[in-house]
Amino acid sequence: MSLSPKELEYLAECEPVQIVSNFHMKKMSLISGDIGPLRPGIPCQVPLWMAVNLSRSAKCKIIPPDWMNVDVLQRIKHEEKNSPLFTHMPAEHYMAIGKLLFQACPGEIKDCDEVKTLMKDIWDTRYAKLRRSVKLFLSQEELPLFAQVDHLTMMEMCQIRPFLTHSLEQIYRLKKTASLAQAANEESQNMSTTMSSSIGHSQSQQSQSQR
Amino acid sequence: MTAYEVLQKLQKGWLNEKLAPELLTPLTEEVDCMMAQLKSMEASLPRLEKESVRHHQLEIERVRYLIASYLRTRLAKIQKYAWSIRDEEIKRQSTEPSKLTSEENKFLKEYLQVKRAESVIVDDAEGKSESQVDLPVGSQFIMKYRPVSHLVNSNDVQLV
Repeated sequence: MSLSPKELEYLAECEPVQIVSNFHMKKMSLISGDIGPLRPGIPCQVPLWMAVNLSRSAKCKIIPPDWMNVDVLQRIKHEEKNSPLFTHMPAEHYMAIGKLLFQACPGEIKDCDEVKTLMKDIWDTRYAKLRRSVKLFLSQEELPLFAQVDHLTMMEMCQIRPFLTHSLEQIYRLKKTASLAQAANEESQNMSTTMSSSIGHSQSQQSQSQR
Repeated sequence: MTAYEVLQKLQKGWLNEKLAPELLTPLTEEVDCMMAQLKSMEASLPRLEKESVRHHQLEIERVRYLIASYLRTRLAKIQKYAWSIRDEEIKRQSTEPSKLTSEENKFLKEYLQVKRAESVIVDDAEGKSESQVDLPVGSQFIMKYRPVSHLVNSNDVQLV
């Protein structure tokens, strides 16, 4: 029960992005809202799936989101490294949006390679943090009932979900077995004391409990 | 409610259905409404500006994918938890809404019928625990007679 990378990409494709088209199109009423009108040279907001499709047939230029820029990403990376908690990401689907735009319009992204590296660094920092938090979560004697994970993005959740739910299930099973074994143990001890007390011999009581 | 709001609701419902371990309350109205919307959209395509047609088509494909994935996710759960969903349906008060749409209910019944022919429920003497035993073709078992009696009667199993 998790989302596949393709499904996450589908969600990312619903996000809005700015484009500059090179053709005229009247206002269009899509199910997901009105688009346009498109005029050459005038920026317009469209869903990412449409932007990717248009740019594939060379009908528009995609304007990368503000945060896909070395300065902003460097600041985010720095904040993420220094914060014990997860910081707020500029976009819920930042990795998927990045992937789609690196494919669709690498030429439009300034310092594309550096941007790519920075985004990967941010992802790695966050993922390492996530692994540490999960380890902490699972290694506590008394399992916490919940953990608040604000600012964790959907892709990050989906990465960790299968492992986390599986581990929790295993821990639950082990604990249940342990408590059952303990209960059985106590029961047999109780039995032996009642048996020996009915015999009423202190000596036999000792030998019973030794057995 | 606008078409956009219905779509938003479906998308949320799709995510929840994908990620929840149990079968959720079906979004019957939303699915029906969106299917009707897609139909009318497709019907109006020939009248639209040529340039915008392919965007409409693309969007229709995307919404259709969402709905199909949503319904498939539910069917997969119904197959996986067929027995317990059936039990819940039996225990359900008539005032409570069903977790299944009428089509899903039909699917579950047919699925269980197929399943039933291939497996039986065996319980212990006190009726405390029971388990489902699959009976693949060609396999042999030692088990109580009662659970398989109907299969002996219908000549679907052979006593050896």
